[in-house]
Amino acid sequence: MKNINAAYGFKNGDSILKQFKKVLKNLLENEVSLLLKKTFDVKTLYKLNKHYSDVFAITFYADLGEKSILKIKDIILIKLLSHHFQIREPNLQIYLTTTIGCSKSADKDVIIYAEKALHNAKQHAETFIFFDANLYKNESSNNDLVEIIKYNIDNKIVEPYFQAINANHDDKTVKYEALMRIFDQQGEVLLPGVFLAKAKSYRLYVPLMQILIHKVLDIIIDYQISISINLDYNDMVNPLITKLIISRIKQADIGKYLTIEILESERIQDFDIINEFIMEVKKHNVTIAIDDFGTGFSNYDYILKLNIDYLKIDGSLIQKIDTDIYMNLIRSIVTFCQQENIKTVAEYVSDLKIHRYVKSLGIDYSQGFYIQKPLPIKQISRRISER
Amino acid sequence: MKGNLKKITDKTIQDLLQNEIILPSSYFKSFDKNARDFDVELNAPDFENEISELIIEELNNINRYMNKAVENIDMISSTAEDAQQAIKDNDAPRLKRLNSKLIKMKNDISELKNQIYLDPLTQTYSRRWIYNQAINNDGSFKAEGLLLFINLVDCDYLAHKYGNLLADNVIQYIAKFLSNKFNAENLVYEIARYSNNQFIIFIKDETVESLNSFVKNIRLLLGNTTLKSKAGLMFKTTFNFGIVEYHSMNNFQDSLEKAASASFQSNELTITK
Repeated sequence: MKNINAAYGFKNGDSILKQFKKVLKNLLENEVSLLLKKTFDVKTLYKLNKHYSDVFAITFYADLGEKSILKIKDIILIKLLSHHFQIREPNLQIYLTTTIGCSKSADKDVIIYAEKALHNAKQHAETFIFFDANLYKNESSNNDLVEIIKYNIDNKIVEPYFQAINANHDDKTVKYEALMRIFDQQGEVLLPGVFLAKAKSYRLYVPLMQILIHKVLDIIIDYQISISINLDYNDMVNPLITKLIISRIKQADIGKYLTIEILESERIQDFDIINEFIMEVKKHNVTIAIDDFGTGFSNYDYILKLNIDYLKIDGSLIQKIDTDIYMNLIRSIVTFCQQENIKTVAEYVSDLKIHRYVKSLGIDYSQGFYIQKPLPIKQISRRISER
Repeated sequence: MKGNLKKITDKTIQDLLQNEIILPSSYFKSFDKNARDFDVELNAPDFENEISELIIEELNNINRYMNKAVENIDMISSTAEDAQQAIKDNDAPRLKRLNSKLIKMKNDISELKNQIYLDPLTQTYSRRWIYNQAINNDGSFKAEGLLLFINLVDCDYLAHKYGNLLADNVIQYIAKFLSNKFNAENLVYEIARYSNNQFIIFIKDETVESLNSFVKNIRLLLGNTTLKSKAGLMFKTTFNFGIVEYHSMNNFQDSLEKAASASFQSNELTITK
């Protein structure tokens, strides 16, 4: 509708909306009512109103089945997509595209779910999405999740867990990757797959990262162990995070213990900013790794554009290392890295067989459940002192 | 028909699971009630014919399995004799050929085992596998471990409102989801479909606490996932679960009932030791 207002002016826009409502009203009074009565034997009350802007709401006060809902959707879509809407000045007839979000519920939340369905349909360029609110009753767990994230920030209880990275030539641990964990009110640990996307969409990710970085750097100071942390593009362009890292490694002179793993979850849009950050941290002997290489946005171009020390081969490739195609692919990555003087790390080393393949290809380091599951610092420090 | 009868059986077992004693009459009563829910009329004239066809089909299947087994046994016997001779003659190419034969036989037997013990929809183990392979003849466990009972919520609602096809797709999706997550966590486990919307997972070498934490996480992950049908229906689904720790010689049925009742009682996890 914004396009129509921009192209033909608000007067025409308003007129189109009136015509649109009229078409809908006619459809409901005739085809839709007839369909419900004759085909589905349902006589129902309905209400049509303009919800906001260019969104109209139709409420049916009946427990309509899937077939009738889909049929009504077809009637509305076919009519609206083929109807000529009249522009007054200039005298033109135009077509409109229509998106329908539909929901079914016995309570007032029905409009919220219809709104969600509409949003989803627009996001995915679909003409129709239907949410059955009854199947969303467990969604409260999502709201609980936001509460849990907030609880972790307020009480600073987000914690790094550490997974060992072993050198393949002597199987000794040389470094740990710090992985974020949060805890619910009962102290149950939650994995990143559960909360990270939610934390990002609710703009709670940066404070979580800040707490995590502080804790990781404190642990480096206390235990003098090498640790890597994951940063994505957005982290590296966020001064709250970059300034925190640089000021603290400068202050305690701990750069040589830190590796920054660049995640490939977000496409790097500005290599200059990233290289500037890399150059700055490298002045303090921080090393740089590319994480999850072989998936997402990662490619050889990245390696050449960024001044990196390590390349972590993605677990999805390592898991298939026993098949010829993947073995050849991994071999080519390793050869390339050896020529470029970049050390390689195999992720997802989950059993002895994979570990043997990894070693046979000359990959420098291994990480995965076969080496060690992620553990809290207490258990790691116990292991270190036992050695 | 077979699919419906299986669902009716599953539902009947589910309904009666909590009863200490199940009399034939109560089984039949519950079966009859569930059959009506699935629009199967047990007294209808054509029902008997369909059941007869079903029995014939089952017998044919058994016959096919038997023939395949006999064929393989015969082949083992002749291969063993050939192998003895080949070893005597130090005939390496012949031994290589015999080895290929043995590999083929191994694959045949594994395929046969799959036909008998795999659930056709989810490709997880079936209930038959649990009773024939996972536990002893007296109903006790063979070794210690954890039993995780998973009850998929909303499957009945989905089947009722949107059809069995969609409900089956959801069951299939969740079975795959569970297997993927358990594999990624490197857990030693075996998963079986116990009834239409219930799975039992046997886990070794894991503590109750870490399994509890892991399952809570994957339940949240599933809760965050929006599923979409071809018709445009978008929905979320979840599961309830219960965990029971068992030792060898503990009774499977007792453990199952404890885990099932824990999962039914609450959306929250209940651990029974």
